[in-house]
Amino acid sequence: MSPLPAYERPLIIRHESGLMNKFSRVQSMRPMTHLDGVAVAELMETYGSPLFVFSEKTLVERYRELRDVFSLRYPKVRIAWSYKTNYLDSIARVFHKEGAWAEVVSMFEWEKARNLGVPAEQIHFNGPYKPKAVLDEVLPAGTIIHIDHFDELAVAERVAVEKGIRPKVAIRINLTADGTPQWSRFGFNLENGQAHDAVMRILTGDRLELTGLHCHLGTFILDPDAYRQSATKMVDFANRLRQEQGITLSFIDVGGGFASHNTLKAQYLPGDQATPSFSRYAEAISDALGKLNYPPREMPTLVLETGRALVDDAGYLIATVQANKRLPDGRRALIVDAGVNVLFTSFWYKHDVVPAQEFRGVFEPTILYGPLCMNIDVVRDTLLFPPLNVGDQIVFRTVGAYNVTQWMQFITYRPAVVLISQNGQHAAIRKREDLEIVRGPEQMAPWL
Amino acid sequence: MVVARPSTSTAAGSTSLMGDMVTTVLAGYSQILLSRSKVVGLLLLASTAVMPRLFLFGLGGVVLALGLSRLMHLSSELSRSGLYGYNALLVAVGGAAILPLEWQSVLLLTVAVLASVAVTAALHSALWSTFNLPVLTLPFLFVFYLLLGAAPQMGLTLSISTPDALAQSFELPRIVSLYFQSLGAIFFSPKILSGVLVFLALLVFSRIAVSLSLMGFAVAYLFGVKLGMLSNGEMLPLIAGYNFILTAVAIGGVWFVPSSSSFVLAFASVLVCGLVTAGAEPLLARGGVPLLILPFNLTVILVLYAMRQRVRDARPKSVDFLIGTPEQNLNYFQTRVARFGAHSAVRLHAPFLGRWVCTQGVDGEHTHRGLWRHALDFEVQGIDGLTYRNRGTDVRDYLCFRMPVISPADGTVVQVIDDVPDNPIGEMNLRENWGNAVLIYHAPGLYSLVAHLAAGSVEVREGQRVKRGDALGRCGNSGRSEVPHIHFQLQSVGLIGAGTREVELHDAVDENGDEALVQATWVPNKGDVVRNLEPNDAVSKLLRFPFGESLAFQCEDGDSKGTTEHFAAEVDLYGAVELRSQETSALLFFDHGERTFTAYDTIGDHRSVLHLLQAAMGRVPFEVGPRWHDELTARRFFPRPLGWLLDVIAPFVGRFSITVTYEAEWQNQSLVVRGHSHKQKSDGSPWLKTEAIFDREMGLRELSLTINGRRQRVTRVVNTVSTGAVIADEDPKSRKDVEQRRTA
Repeated sequence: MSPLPAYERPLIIRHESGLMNKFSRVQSMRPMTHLDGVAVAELMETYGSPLFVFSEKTLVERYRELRDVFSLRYPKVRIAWSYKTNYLDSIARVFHKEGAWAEVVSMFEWEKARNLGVPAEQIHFNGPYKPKAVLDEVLPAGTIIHIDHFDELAVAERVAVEKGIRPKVAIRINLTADGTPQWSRFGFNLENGQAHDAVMRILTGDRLELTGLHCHLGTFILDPDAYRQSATKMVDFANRLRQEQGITLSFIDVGGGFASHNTLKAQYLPGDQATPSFSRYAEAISDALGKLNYPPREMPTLVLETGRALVDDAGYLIATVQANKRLPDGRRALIVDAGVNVLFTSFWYKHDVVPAQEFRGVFEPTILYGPLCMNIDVVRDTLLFPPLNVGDQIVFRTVGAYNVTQWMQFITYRPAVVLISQNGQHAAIRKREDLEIVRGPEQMAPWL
Repeated sequence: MVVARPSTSTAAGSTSLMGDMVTTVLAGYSQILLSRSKVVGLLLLASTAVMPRLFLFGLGGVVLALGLSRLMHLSSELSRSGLYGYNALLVAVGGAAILPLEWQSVLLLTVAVLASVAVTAALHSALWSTFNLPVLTLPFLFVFYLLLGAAPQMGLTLSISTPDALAQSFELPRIVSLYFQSLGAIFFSPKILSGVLVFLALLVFSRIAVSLSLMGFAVAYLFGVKLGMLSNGEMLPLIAGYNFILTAVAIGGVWFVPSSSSFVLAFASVLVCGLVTAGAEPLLARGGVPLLILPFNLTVILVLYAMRQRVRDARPKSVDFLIGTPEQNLNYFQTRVARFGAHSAVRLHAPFLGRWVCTQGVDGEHTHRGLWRHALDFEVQGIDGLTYRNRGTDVRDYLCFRMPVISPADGTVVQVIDDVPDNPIGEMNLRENWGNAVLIYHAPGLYSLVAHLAAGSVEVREGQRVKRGDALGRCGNSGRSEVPHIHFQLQSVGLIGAGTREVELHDAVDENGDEALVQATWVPNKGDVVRNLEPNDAVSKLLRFPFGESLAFQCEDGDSKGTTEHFAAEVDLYGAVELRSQETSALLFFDHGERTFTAYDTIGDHRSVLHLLQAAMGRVPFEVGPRWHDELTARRFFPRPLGWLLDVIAPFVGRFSITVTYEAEWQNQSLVVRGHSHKQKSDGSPWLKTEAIFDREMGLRELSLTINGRRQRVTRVVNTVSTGAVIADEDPKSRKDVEQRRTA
């Protein structure tokens, strides 16, 4: 007996005439039934829905690709894992095992890195907020701080005097590069001479040892040439410091900001086509560093604080369809069990989302809503999507960056996070929240 | 047995004048056998005592010569090495043997001994600084021939002491008697007893030397007695014996690393020595002049100088390091080969940045054949295992295309080609085989070539000096190249495309999947992923031993539990750096390089902490992650009788060593270096384990070595004064132990 053909809901669509766009209207979408060889159904059964899944294979491949394209072009390359992008212990450890240092921006992240066994000397400490209590601890331990402003510089000097140490520091600088908005709120401005003043201040203070320059241009920068400009400006500055003050820097940190394969909301071309390969960033940056007036064996280390571009591709979010709805404007709506509190990046990106099982039927404009009782809970703006049934799964791809750090516990529990190993093992690396966990830090007021 | 290496221990040894004098006098004796050991010196001194006259005159001559060398302010180091002593000794002993016992003789000899010092000083300088050749016993010959001429004019009649009448000697076969007499004749005392003592000295000095001496003597016997080339077989010991024996020892074991090829060379040299002897004897005899030790001197200098003209120093390998006993030379060289590679003294790095895959190795399937067999091709491979992206139909699709190519070592650019266009994929330019290429001179007989660079990409000019890591150009597809790649080879000749010599890379990392291995010396095969070591400053800093700062270590287990030993880093006149133990005679030669810490060799007292250090951190690359292998000399683990037996066969068989795999790991603020031997115990656990722990605050903190379950561990004692050997542990017992060990 042959199986019955699956039921397809009837659908009335408007006949469109007129010009088609040059990419035509053909939408090809393939279901994603397996992640790294592990069936979505198996993951759902084991860990429940919704669920974040990370691919260790992709993490390692992206890391090695980044490392390789840069180290082919420049002799000393260091990758410092940007903790804020994803500081789950297991994720960070995958990168540390590959040789990554840590880049942290708070005492919490510093403690997390130390807890993972990262030597304090292998941590770059960034950010505008490093109170004295923090510097009291991290400077004697040997962590390299990237000084953001003069007040921090003064505090660092005070700590150096009190502890009788000579800490290694870098300064963060900001500069203009065509095509990127200037992030002038961080660091010392290069063009108006503030950065030079900061260096002179460090030299005259004679309490700190200037070992590096740092410039984080911005985020999701799609134009490698912006890095050519920022690196060139840093190289000119480094050459000037070497020539005038005899300062030999041990590193130049070009920050992060490489685009992942996501698509920004304002972006026309999809990320797959628009995002430059790592080698194009590498070409631009190493060309600029080639102008350093340093003997080859004393070349400063190039530090990369790449976060998003390493981890974004490795992360998936599996969600389950709760309901189908027809909106008054004719669009279809799907309600899924993961909302913007979990998929925080849906505020930024047009996420790439596909069904997790074979499907048939006609694609129609569909909007994806989360489960929150909030009007803003839209996890994906309208896209052409096939019809799905209640209980079907969908997979959001390229969601590895920022979600499991910026997500929030709101209205409901946060989901579990799973890591699939390179040989197909899988394990929860963060368990699903429950009442005990959420209530844990709460205390009843004694008078109630 | 530990024979301290030259100058190092003597230089720092006893400072008392008397002790110094004894050392120097004994060196004068031991040097005749090309040894520097006091025991050898004593035995040789004893051998002259068989004829008391020789003993008295010999000792007197040495003391006189040393006194003069001091008065003349000649280099005290040279004099301690025995240089002035042994020539004067030979003059004095030789004179005593042939001159009658009269006051004129004493006068003549005194003048001759004093003259020998001046002649030695002058000849040594001329030969050593001009030709880098040893002066051997030429000063003795010079002075002694003059003495032979002068004596009759002073009315002295010369007499020659003859070998023992064979009938009176012990019941020894004739050939054995002749052997001992030949040895004794070195000191003009062709007596069997003298010969036996000299033989003992030779045995203590080196078992390999004994084998060589037997070979030398066998040839002498064959020529002199069996073939009757010498006019009188009975005169063999006085004429040929010792010349042949000393030539064999000098060539086969002292100036060349003992091996089957050094034995062959020694054999050939002995034949040359035979020619010199047979040819020169009648000529000199016409003037009534004896041959003495002339054949040895001429032959050794001839052979040494001739062998230096070789393009490649191998088979046999000349001793281009501090000369020791043949055993030490062999051991040092074998360890050096095992640990650092045999072919090139210049450290060569891979000529690129990042990770490349070797696509054609030595004796490769395409072009690495015949004259050009020792060559390596490299390309870049992506995560997907492909060397290109897109369809691979354009040179720009290839991941290695236009990647930087760097100088593998310091050198001078000798030839550059930079005008060959890049080929389209799949085509070859056979007219301009090498394409764009850079040839660099690194050392005599060592040139490196990188070829097939991108058109117009070469950044260096002919004659330009380059440092390791300097950019040379970019990888391209020029010349005989179908897809972009670089071709790397080493040559002995400074012309692009000359035949190749053994290629190797140093301090490279073999990235075999997830298992990375640091290779001190490596010839990659096809498919191997290669990168250069990436040193980490923090590791480098932890492994630094500041000069002059004394480090104290306390034994935690084993026989010397509770004792404390101090050592400090020193630098000698020649720039060699060493760790010197304050309580024992141990000395460790090390190098703190740009990429690796290397303990080259440790000599002296086997109980010293320094031997522990050699085992636990013999080599530590400044990169945490990859593992590495190293070799520990196994000889120190053998009991002595077995060791002596092994010495005899050592030149002809492989080396006796233990392979140990090490890995380094950060544990919070500490760096831990662990090693385990490949040799296992019956339960499958490693036979030997090592551990070295470095602390961020104080550097080296702990060392341990476990051999077959027996653990030896020392820990750093910090509260010590850095200026002197203050024993931190004030327990009087341990202080006494240290005192005892110091005097022992």
